[in-house]
Amino acid sequence: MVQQEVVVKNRLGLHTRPAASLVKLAAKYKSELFLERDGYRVNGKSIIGVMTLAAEQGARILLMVEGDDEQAALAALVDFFDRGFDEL
Amino acid sequence: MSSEVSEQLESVEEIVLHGVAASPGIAIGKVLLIKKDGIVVEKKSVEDASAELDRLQRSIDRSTYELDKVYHTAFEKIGVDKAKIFEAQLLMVSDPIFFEAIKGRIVREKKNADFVVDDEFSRQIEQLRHSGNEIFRQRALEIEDVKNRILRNLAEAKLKSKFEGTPIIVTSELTPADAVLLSRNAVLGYVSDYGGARSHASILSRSLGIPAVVGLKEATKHVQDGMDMIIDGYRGVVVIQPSEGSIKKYSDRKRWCEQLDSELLSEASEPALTTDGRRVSIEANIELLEELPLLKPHGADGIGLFRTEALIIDADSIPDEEAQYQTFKKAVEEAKPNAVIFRTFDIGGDKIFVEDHSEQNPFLGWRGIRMMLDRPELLKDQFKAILRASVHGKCKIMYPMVASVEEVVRANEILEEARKSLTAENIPFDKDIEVGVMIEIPSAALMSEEIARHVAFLSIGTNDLTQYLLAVDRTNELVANVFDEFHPAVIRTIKLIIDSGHSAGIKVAMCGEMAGNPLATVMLLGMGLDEFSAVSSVLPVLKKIIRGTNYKSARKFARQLLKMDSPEEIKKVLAEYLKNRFERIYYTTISEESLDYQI
Repeated sequence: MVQQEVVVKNRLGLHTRPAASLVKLAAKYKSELFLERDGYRVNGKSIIGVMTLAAEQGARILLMVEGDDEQAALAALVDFFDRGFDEL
Repeated sequence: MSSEVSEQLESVEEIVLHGVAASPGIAIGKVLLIKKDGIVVEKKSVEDASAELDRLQRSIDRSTYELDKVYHTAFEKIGVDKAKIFEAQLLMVSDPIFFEAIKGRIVREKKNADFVVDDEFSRQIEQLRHSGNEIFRQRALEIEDVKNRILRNLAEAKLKSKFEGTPIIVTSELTPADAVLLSRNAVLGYVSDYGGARSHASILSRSLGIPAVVGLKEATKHVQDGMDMIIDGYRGVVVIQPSEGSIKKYSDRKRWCEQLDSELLSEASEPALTTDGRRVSIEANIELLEELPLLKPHGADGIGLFRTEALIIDADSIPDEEAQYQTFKKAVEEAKPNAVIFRTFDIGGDKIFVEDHSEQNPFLGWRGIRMMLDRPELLKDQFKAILRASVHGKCKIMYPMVASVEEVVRANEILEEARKSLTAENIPFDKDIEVGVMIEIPSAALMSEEIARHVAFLSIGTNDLTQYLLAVDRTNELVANVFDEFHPAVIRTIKLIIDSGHSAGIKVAMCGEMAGNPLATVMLLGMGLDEFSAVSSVLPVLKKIIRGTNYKSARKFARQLLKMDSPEEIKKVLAEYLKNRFERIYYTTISEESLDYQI
């Protein structure tokens, strides 16, 4: 398993639109993805789960990826967070 | 029919309810009651978990099908932007992880699907409700919608979206999804317990041309499917189980209202020119892009107020510069060759809060230009979006809730920064864009001549001006009867503002509720108002009144009104004037006892 902490950068946070994009991105990889915030953990392939993180700007989230393509998946996800979900 | 039965029918008393006139028109028809609440979820143990899994799958399939239909209808009828609301819900009903968890619990716990669905969804909804962030708490409602849809389909209680005949829909609260879906069928009208004239569904009803009365509080309690009903969307009246006499009266009223409407619409493109040649401008207040197709048929001379905060309500977030630009561009292109006045975000008061913050006195608090000046980066983004849109047609900018000259100067400085950064990026814009100020705070009214020297136009906001002048919170029912825009102090202040603008050599507009009130038209015209901006549907009425009025006489009339000291007297004199001069307009929009009128 690989993991990395990321920060929500865009002003509006991880709201519906980026949550949908994140789930679609995660679905491209075979690996399992979990997002954890303050001990609350959700499956990264569930849009409802990701929405309940209620991650606003500045929220710190631990990405945990496990599977055959975990390195590639983590890199893609970290990049997606770094780009502020393309809303910067 | 036996005499006993006919006696019973005779004895049924009609019920008259008063609500908010949300969309004009009269409908006479039969009720179709759509119940929203009342999904009761029982916890049951089941023998055959696989039968529950089948039921769940059928419900998911059905919900997906329904949402897909809503999405596509919305896409065709109201455009891609609005359809996005439903796209997120489609993603939720096909959330594989979430529903795998539900299916797992059904098998393990041998419980009915309804219970597990309710339990799992409620857990997620609770999680979001605990968020300290208003935007995320709003999202809980979206998930709740999806939950209710799945539960409803589990109960195989299908939304009655296909029905016989053309009913009047009665419901507790009309959601935008309902309004769109129902419009596919022939619907005579909408009636709802909650909602206001500016709620999303009301605006949709207006753009779909369906009469609506909302905010009736308990209409759903008084009706059953198939009952006779009359709705009067001009005056916000609903008659349940009307007497034969009422049906006759409203049929007549409907006939002449429709005749008047078509007459007014046929003349709507004519200019608002008084009989002695004074030309004023009649413009539309716009909240949503769906209202844009109404501009031309209603003869709007442009958009006198584009409420940009509707973008935030729509997106549940503050849209970025690009998203704002795209929206503004559409409005500007539609209004061409006329101008669009964009009012910068007026957040706060009774409007939405972007962030979770509450104040003891929100109407006296952080709202309008005050909030935007504290967050100059938001204001600058918005300025840039408006400036960019100005190459596609004429744009103007307006600041809300201004209390002092300094605020105008400061906002103008930020506008200058926006201009500079666009110039630096080589992005074209209209260099001569006009800036104006809404006058709605008494201090601004008193200082309006000084403010006028810094801007190109003034626009009077009567709702707030009245509330601040009379110290009445218009949302407080205890004092709502004291709220009166025809109070002599309000009328005199309006005159002061108009005179101040004119002595500074600029035009004065009005975009508050009063501008769309036919009772006030002749008075405002006579006080020298240059531009009226109101909801599209009333514009042909205003034009008709102005074209039938002599400006010199109106001025004389206004001088008399300005001397009066009671709101009742002013209203009485104005009502008499309207009744004598524009009888049918009076009976459509003002009068309570309008029904004896015959063609």
